[in-house]
Amino acid sequence: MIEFHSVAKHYPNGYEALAHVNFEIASGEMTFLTGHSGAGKSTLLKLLMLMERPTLGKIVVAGQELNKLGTSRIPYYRRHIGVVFQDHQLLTDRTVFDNVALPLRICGFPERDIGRRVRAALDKVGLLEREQYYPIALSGGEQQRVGIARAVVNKPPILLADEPTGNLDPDLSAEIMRIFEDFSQVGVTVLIATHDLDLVTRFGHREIVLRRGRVIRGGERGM
Amino acid sequence: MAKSNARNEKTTRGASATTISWRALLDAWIAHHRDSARDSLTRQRRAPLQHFLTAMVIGITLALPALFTIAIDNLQQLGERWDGAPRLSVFLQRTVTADEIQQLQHSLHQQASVNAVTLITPEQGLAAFEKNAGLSGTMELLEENPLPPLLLVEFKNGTSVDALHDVQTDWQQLPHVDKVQADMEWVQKLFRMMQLGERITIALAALLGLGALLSVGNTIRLAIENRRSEIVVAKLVGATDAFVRRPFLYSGFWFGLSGGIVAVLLVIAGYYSVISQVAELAALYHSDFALRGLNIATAASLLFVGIALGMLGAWLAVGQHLHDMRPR
Repeated sequence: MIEFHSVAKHYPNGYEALAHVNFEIASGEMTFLTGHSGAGKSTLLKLLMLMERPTLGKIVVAGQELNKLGTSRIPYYRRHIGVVFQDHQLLTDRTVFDNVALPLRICGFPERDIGRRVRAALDKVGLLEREQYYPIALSGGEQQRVGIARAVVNKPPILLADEPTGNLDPDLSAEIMRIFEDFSQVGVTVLIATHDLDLVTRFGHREIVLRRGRVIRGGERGM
Repeated sequence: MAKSNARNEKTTRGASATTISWRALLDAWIAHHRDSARDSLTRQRRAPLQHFLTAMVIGITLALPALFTIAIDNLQQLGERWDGAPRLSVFLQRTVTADEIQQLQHSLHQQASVNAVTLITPEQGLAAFEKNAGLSGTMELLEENPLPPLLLVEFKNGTSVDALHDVQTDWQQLPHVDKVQADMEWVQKLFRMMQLGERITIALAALLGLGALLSVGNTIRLAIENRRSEIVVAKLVGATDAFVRRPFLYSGFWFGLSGGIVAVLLVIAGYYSVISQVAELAALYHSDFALRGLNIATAASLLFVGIALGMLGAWLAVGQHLHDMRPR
């Protein structure tokens, strides 16, 4: 589902964020991406979201080579990728419902379907009764679950998460991880960048370890 | 029917990619236009001062060149005979017969550079003179009409002063012709002044337009800053550039519409502030000159240009922002 072939990313200031990155993630697989901050986790996710382009190498997602995807096609590509952020990026001036509905409205879903799908997504993260709240009125864990609901509301085949438990205590973190596991079990490919090694050990999924922009462990399948 | 088929769900390994029917996409597109228009209007209502100032900038930008254009238009009207087409007045001898006049008129009209030949009989001339000079009644004191028949010859546009001069000398020699008079220097001077005026107006309009564009662009840039997080999130979940641009284009539209209305009001105010003086002046000179104001077409084009300026300013501002968000 996700393939990196000798991917490198250099920034104009000469900083080498990623070098010779090779790995493959199968469809429906749940994978952790670990490493110290600055190891290149965020850069790798940004390449997958097409927020940035690699300097060298080839990235293939769902059979689509990202280098060959023109700028005008990026919005349609992103509609197939759900993203969860550490700071959850919720819009404070609209309700939980409207936050989760945003991707659907952008895709042009009929209003009737939007209500149904938003409620299904909120139900999955256990926040159905909070749909008319504003994000500010929710706890950190709840806000993160709203972020997850927004990421999955249009049923993307791929789910990316950048430090999704960064600001949460261990219990809430475990709860969030279980939600990701649920998605993985219904066939969603899940890639989670985290530095919470306890959590990684506890859940025991495949782990790709980055150090200074290189994959030092987990690049080969079945490790 | 269409609604029940609205979604074809395609399942791939448990996760489903969804395609939406064209009909539903069109509905959503229309809904987004409607929401963008309404939302941008509401936002501007919440910041009336900013809206007013931006509208004023656009309004003044449009009103100044419009007033200039109207002034030039009035100058043109003032000189009915100075409308740029050169003329000669051919005064005939008073003994000339109607047949001879007709013959002469015909032969003058044969000339290649001549556009039209109009006969003004002594009676018509007298009537016009009385009317224009405000001497009604005085003429009755004269025993006979002192005016000769006159052929007003209008030349084609672009006939040079030299050519006119040659023609004038030639015609002086024609039988029955008393005198050939030209007021072409006046004509040329006025024509050139008006051309200059038009050019100044165009230059002024271009400069002011650029200023208004920057002003609208700056206002929209502020609006973009305020909604930065919204744009970032929308782009990340798959919004197209058009989707992001739309609400701001509507903002530009409202600014431009208000600006156009301000321009129309300013032009009308300018018109009424001078109309009484012009009327007095015209009365002093016994002229039936009336100031031409704003017509519907000009008002409509002011609104149109205002809207175009507003939307273009917004387009440029958002375009810059979207360009900065492109992946590198």
